[in-house]
Amino acid sequence: MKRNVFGFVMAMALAMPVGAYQDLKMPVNLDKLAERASESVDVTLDASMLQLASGFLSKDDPDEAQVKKLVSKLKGVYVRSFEFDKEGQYSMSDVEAIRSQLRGPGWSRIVGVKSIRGENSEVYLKKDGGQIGGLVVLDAEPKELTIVHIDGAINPEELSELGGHMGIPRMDKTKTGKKDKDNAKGDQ
Amino acid sequence: MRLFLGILTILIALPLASPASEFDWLVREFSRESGAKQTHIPLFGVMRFAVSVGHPAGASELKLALFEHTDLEPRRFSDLTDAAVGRDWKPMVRVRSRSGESTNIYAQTDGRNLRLLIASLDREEAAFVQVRIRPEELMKFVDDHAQAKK
Repeated sequence: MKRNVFGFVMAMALAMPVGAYQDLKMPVNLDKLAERASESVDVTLDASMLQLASGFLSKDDPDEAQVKKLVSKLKGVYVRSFEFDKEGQYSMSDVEAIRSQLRGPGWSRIVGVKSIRGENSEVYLKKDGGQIGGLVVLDAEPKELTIVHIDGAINPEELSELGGHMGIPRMDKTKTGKKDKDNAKGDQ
Repeated sequence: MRLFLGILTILIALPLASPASEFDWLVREFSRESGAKQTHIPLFGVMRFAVSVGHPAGASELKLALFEHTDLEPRRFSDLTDAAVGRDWKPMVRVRSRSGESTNIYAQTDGRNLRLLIASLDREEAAFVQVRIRPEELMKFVDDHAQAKK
């Protein structure tokens, strides 16, 4: 009995650090999905790559300096995207392995959009203490599936600053906001 | 004069005679697997020497291999490049299409430098490029030229 307890405690002690630091993993079945897709894109930028990529940003430009600061807090950016010739070449069960991880502790779904055209978008946030420790976007359309995972501390206000850098499109909301502000100034 | 010519020859030959790297291994394996022969690029040795000495735009190493009339499945191409580059190169971008296109970009940090290895297959053509760049110098080059354009 004592041996069983000791074994259990040892197993827990060995497993705990692994579990504690285990990040979201892209499941293996996504590779099988790539074989069915007409086009697949896989982008993997870990912390060391992000640090080097931030070297492409100027310290002198205030916008780029802010992006550099944001990127320095990230542990990784992972993108998996698939395009299919026909509808029904993938099913929701294919992304279930990711979804099941996102139901785990720390993660919460903050956005869920479903349309009658079969377009589903979900945004999940990972809470890390008092701040956001990661973000996952799942976008499933009848002929397209995209999964974006940003790992690391994210400030939502700073996130919009990534638009227009490193190939990330500038966010329309920022432009609209600016326009609104300009209009508001004009009204005064 | 002879001494000068001798030193110049060694300088030119040095970057060309570097030990077989993952790049060379990859090119050799691809050639063997696809049965295609590497396309000769005139004066490319001079260009490589100029890059290794002059460091234009922060680049200090350039390797390029082109192939035509290749016959290799994109999946096989991807597996081949993965196996040839080994674990020292981190896969950064992978694009694969069923129309016969495949692009794999691998990166490796080398002190303050970034080394990129790009392997691209486009139906019957393949290209392999390896560059070593210093990001700060490349950005300075881009900024200087952007200002000059204004």
